[in-house]
Amino acid sequence: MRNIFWDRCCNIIAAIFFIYLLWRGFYGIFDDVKYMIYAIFYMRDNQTSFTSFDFDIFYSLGSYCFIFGITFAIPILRKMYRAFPWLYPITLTILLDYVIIALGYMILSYGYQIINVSRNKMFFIIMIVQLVVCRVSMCIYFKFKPIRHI
Amino acid sequence: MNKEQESRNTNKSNNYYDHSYNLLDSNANSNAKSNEISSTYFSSSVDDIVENEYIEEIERKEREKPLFILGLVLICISFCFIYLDQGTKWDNSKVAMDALKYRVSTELKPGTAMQSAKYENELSKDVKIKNNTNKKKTKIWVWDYADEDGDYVQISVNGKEIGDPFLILNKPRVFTIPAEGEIEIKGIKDGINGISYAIKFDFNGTSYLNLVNEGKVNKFSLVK
Repeated sequence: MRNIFWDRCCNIIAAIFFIYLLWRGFYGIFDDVKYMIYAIFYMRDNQTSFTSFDFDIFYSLGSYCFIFGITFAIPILRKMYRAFPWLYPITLTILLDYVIIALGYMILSYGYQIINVSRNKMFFIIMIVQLVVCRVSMCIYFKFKPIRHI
Repeated sequence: MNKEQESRNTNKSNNYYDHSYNLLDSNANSNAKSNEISSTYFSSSVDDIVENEYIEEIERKEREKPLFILGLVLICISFCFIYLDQGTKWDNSKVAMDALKYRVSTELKPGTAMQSAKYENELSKDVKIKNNTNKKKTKIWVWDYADEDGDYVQISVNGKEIGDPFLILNKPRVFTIPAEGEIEIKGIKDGINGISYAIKFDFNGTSYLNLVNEGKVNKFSLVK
């Protein structure tokens, strides 16, 4: 028979982490995506690149992968996905969306390091192609292997 | 006959209720195995309940195994990203501090970033350099010795532009230029508080720290 006290402690820990995840994970990702979209349009309009001084992409990617990774790996925290069946599909799609747009941002940022009209246009097109290809691939993959609740 | 019919009807109705219990139990999961489990659940003893919980636990762990692996993969990826994001490695050695103070150094390596005193002793100046070697061409390294704040410069040699305006980063860019002539560093775009850059010449191994404003030019005259 299960230890009720331990179960309750685990539930409290999972609940507290869920609140942290909503704030640091989801809100943070939405904020960063909004900033990256702003940065992409800013780079295109002003022909300037963004550096790590403006937005540290690797640190952001690393921190979100870590936060969501521990929710998947640690059984106590995984309880959240059992309690909220909608959480797992949303987490996975948001994380993938973030990676896709981060790649686009990095491509454009690299392309605008040199002020040359043809180079800038080429990298802008590469970015658009990358975004479309990645999104379509993601949709096709989830069409054949849909994300189900755990 | 009526009694027989009645008994048949009651049997049928009992069977109907048993069947409906099974349907209710299997409503959530149409798996045959879980049908078996749920059909025994209501009529089992404590041992059976414990066994059922144990079986459910095992099934749940099997279902969540891919999630656990995904979690480990994400954690490894996060460590890779954090390792890649080394950040700017600030050099606070004596060589770097002297370079910041005197604005020139023969020991400074290309790509050295110096955090403090970006805004101290900063003057935009033209430099005259004597070339005592017989070399006809030389390499130059150009980099941002402070924060990478989006400064763009363009290099011209003897009035001719070599390449397009580029973003100066902590990582140096290398150019090969004639060892005699006039090199102009033109400020194209200013990130924050002036375009600070460092330039190192290969023929004399000397680095010069300089500042140029947007639209202005710094000249480095190489004379023999």
